[in-house]
Amino acid sequence: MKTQSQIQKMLGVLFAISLILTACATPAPTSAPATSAPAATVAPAATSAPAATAVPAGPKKGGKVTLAVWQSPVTLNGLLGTQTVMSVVLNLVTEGMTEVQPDGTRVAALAKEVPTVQNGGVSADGKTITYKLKEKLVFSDGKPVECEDFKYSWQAIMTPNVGIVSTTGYSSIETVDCPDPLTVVVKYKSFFAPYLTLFNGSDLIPRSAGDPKGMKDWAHNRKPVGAGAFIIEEWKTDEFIRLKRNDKYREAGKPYLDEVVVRIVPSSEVALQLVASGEVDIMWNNTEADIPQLEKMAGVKVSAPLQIGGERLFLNMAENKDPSDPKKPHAILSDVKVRQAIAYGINKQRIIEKLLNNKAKPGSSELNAGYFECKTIQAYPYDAAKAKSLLDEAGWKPGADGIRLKDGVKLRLKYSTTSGNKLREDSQVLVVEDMKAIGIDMFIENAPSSVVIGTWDGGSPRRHGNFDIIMYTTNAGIDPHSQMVNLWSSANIPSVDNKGGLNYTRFNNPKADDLLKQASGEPDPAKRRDMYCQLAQMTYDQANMIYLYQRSAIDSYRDRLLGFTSNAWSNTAYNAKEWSLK
Amino acid sequence: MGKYILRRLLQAIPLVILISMTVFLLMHLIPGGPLAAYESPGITAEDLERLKHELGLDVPIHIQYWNWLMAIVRGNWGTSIVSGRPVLTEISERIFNTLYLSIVAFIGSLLISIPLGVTSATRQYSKIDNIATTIAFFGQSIPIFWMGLILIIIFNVMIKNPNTGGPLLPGGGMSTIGSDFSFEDRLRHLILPASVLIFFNLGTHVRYTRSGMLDVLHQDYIRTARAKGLNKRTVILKHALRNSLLPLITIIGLELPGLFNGALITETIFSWPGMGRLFFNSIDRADYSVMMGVLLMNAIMIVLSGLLTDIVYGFLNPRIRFD
Amino acid sequence: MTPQAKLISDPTSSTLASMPQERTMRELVWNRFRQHRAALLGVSLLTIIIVLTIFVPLVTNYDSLKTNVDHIREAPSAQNIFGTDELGRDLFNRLWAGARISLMIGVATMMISVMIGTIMGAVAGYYGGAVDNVLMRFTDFMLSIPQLFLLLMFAQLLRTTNEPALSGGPFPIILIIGVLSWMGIARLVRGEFLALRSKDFVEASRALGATDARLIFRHILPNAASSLIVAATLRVGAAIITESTLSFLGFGVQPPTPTWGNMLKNAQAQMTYAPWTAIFPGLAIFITVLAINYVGDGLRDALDPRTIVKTQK
Repeated sequence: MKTQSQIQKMLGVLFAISLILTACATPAPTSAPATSAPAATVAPAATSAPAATAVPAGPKKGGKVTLAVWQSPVTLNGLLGTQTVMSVVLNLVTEGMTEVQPDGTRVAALAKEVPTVQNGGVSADGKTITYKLKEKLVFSDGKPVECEDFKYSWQAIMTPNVGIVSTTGYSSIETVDCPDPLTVVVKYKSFFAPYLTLFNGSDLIPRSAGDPKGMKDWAHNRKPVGAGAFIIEEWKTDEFIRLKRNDKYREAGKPYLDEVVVRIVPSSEVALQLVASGEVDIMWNNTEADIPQLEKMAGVKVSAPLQIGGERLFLNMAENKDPSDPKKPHAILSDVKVRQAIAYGINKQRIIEKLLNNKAKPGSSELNAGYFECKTIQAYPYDAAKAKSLLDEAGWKPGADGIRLKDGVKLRLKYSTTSGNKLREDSQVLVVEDMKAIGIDMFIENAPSSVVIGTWDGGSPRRHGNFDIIMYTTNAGIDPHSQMVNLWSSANIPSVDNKGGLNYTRFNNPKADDLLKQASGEPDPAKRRDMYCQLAQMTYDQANMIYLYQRSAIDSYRDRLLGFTSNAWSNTAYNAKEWSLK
Repeated sequence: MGKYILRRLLQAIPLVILISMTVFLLMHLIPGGPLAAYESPGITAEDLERLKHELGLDVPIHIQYWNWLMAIVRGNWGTSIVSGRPVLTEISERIFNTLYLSIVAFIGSLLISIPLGVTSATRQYSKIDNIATTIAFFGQSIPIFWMGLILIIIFNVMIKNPNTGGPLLPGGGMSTIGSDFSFEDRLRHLILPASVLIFFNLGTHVRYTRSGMLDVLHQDYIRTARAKGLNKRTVILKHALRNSLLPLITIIGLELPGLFNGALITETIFSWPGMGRLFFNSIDRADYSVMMGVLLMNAIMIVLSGLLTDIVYGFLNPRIRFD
Repeated sequence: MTPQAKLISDPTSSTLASMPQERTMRELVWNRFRQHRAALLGVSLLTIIIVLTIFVPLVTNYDSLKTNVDHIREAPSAQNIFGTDELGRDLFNRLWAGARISLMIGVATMMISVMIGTIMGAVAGYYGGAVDNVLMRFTDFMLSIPQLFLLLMFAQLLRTTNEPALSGGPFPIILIIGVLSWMGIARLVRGEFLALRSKDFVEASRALGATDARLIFRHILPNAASSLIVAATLRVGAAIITESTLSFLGFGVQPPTPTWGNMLKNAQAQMTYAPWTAIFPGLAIFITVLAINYVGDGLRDALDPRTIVKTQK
């Protein structure tokens, strides 16, 4: 019968497709090299010596490397953009005073040395910083790098009405003086703790860029000039950015490559396939979910240093209302025992093993890596029994369906994160399961990141306070000062009068405010570290922020590329000058 | 005729204004806003307040809209909030990429679907008809992102080019980056995305050709022509086909504006720098000015293609008068 | 675009010249439908799918949300005949749980869009004049804004309400797709009504004192039913595809609730090493939508009066 043969034909085709895909699933067992090569080490300590990651004597010169990114840059003026992908491209093009090594320490780049109190670079009150520039530095257009360029950059950043994204730090500067072309003296109005984070990378704009008032129309925005290893050759919007070697780069002989192509591949699933086929050499920003697939690809390596900060649950301590009055407590979450019960009740290790393919660490506190790491804080252990007894103590008794009740109210909480992020959505499922086991009913209700992470006037729930639990990732950066102030200062609780506040858990503690005040006037980094650590301990005990896991910065690359190490403090392209081809 | 066109264009103005107003309002109802993308630990509340002012986002909505409308009347489409570049530059960088892909796919689909639809109609319920039906529905029954990814896995990852050892077909992009223009290279990049779109268009085109043809085949004049002893082929090609294309032309008219909008999913899967991605990204980042620009262009295209369709229709069917 | 709607003879909006006798009509339609082999295949496939959708979850009583992280991404085996997904959930069971949601989305959105579209089209076509003008300009207006834009905007809007029933689950998706896809149906129904309202049988009923509502729903609408049925059938398939596209863009039904769309979207990243996670939901969508399209096409041929000419010949 005709109908039957038609079905058979159709099924035949479908079967063939599934066979092809299944065949693809079974890895070629013959020549799959170990993907856990030295570069794939997890701990930043191990990747701290980039020289050790096998740049053979005399790397081959020349060649082209293609880097796939899923985000499409909108501008390459670092002052006007915030995209991560922009930083990756600019890392190829620019260099500033200092840069951060994979272990979190700072080394000099254009500066002769990192200024400290000991070498006279930092004044006793910490308000005057003096940099000495290396000699004979030039931008890629051949013009010299001099003190005037840094002064100009500061002025450009402080230009009003051009859309500068962040003036943090620069707005605390009183003057930038140039006693001679190679000496930069920065005087601050008041002590600015993370002073070393300024004048780096893309913050350095050559004087030749133009009048800062006309910044929106600068040619620099599309073709930035810097002192980095590569030069932008061609940028086709949404398609690719082609860069060529900067022959005038300060380190003779470097970079080794002739060309780097940043190719925009908007679907990360497709990018993964392109690494498999070898059409691209590096894939920027893999997720942990890619790991099993990457490990099965022949000729592909993974680099995954641990990052600071990570995924966490913000527990709203104030009422869940729009807008929330920070003085009124949350009906359920204002009880520290409930919050701690949630912290004990989440099996973080299970999430890390099953969803993150062990490329993560249980979250402990805000300060989990780098110089400011608070080593005394350990992650909340998984202890369902303890969680249950805490809930019992708090007066929440199991109901008929296993969900706890108190005064006839169910222990039911809304759990939101950014939609479209599979890992987040999967970990939500596991957390919800863990919570169900201890008698807490969490229901998932996600929204796009533009909503979850939106502004007050945009109606963002984290700002208005109409949420129970929101989950996402943020980090303190190399100097945690602003993050600590943002998250824990009572002055930063968002409200109608303070729409920009970032203290979303509505944490309000006079002792914390005191510590933050002290820290912001303390020039000794070691003392500052102790203060932050005390503060982190306080919030740990309060469990208003539950740190789920600390993630790795994962990139994958073809093994024909040598010298590749990613840097969790910087990004994929931080050492592109060392890259070479086999 | 000229009067008719003028009247139609004037009639369209209120529609365009209404669309732009609705869209503007809708966009501002969505929480988030353009500044959401700027939020990161390094950016302070003061920075955000300052940016809001500098980008003109602290002005009331109705005034923002009025400013936008007045600028448009003067021919100024504004600048992107996100990239700071003129909206027209953002559009013009992508529109040709989009037209290049969508027109190829559109013509490709017509070239396949007209013969397929005609054959299908002349042999209704035959085996060929059934096969044509299956082909027609194939592309509309599969989520495009899934089909695209499978095609990439098959033709980029699994099947290698026997000459070079590299992938058989590129896994996206418009041409090989950094190489000189080559027709062959362009074609190789076009094959996969165009096939996906052709498959998708095929369904509508085949069905409309087929039913248009069926309609005509049962008309008296065709029967008369056949009765006069003209052979079937001549009748179909000379008489029936022309008239049977009328419904198809309507559909084409409705699809024309879409050719400018781009195909978001296909562009995303095949890394094609087109209008669909520009539009989606502008929604995603709440880049109001770009979003409004794309929508305005779309509205204009709808008005123009509606007009064009009616005029073409008039030529094909003299019974219609433009009065 | 104004006069165009009146001029075109949309093949789906053909008119019935008169009211044929009920029995002959039905026989004719059935006879013609039977000749459309693909449509018959479609009906059988749909029957199987619906039966499985109803009975698999009932029989296995499997909690499709329950994870089993000790058995993640296991290939199809005797235990899990379609394998397991990235959280160790059985794909076979999940597929049929997802089928309930996906089919519900398809059918419910169809019902919403048919309801709105029929009322809009019937009122516009029946009353004509200014009413027609206003309603049809509104329809044009809705068609002039790219669907994707409206879908994403409304998805975001509903998502931000604090009403649990409106966010995350299938209901907002149903509402959004339904409310945004009635325009084609409105045009179609209006066309039918314009052609039918001055027919003798309508005039006769009107003379006998039938109310407008009665005329619209009892007399004219049944005569417009054939093309409406076809359009409605095809909408079911289109809605299932739309849901999967929304899922791809991150705006679909939120996990852990399974739909074919979000299962497929989730499977993308593991397509080459756990292909079963992508193949089965993909096939489910493909076979279902193809079957629906076949049936719709068969109905179109069968209900189309033009083909009556052929069978009578």
